[in-house]
Amino acid sequence: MADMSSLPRSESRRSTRKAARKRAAPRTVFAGQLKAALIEGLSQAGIPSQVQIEPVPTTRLHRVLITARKFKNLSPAERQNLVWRIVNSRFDPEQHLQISMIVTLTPEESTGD
Amino acid sequence: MRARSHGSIFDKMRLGPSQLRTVANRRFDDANALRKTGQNARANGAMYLAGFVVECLLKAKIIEKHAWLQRSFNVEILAKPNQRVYDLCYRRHDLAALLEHLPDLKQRLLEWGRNRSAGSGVIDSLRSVVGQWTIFARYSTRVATMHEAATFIEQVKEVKEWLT
Repeated sequence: MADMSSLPRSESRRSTRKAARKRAAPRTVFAGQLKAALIEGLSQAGIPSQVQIEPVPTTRLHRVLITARKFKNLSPAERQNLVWRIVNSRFDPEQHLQISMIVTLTPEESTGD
Repeated sequence: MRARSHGSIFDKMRLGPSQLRTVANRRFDDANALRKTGQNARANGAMYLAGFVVECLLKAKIIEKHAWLQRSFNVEILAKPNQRVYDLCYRRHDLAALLEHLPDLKQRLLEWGRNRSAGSGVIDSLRSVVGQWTIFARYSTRVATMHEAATFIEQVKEVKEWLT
């Protein structure tokens, strides 16, 4: 890691922020690709959806929440099969390891109604 | 009021990995017994117990990874990362968080699936169980069907065989 002790304080802080952004970048890119793939894959299956992706602190993992009204017609296991089929078809196995979990709910289930 | 007898099932205990596996086997049998009734009214109980089986087995893995959890210690003076592990094992019931703490296990599972003609059945089942089950099943007023419970128990069975 670069020695930042000789830099002025504001410069050092800027470098730290830049380094942090650089570290976070691949993670953000993957999250964006995952979100787009899930929305598109579900849409092709006739299921409009909303996808939220949350990074898991101190890891390279992500937790995913998908809400879709049409999940109502599918059992919990069928929803899981469907979303993981989409992930399996669009990402390689090493990328799957970056997904901690995918929760699949209807809007009513997600608000506890 | 009757005094609680020594050794009640309601006593809080810190279990070791083999004890957790024994508990997992017993709760799996309980889940199956409920499934065999074929009554939808028993489906929530069956699913709750089956998910708990996976919780026990993942906790056994974590305790094996962190042997210090089996010794006696003062929780208050644990370092932050160790406190997080302690909470994960003894205060929380979060399958995803348990798995997040076992990245090597998922990696091995992936490789195991790759080397078998049966494919990635176990990892698919594990993902599905983790995506569905929460501790809140025990408070839910919604009623699952026995068909859903049977599918869920089959997935847990597959995961259990691999984790045990």
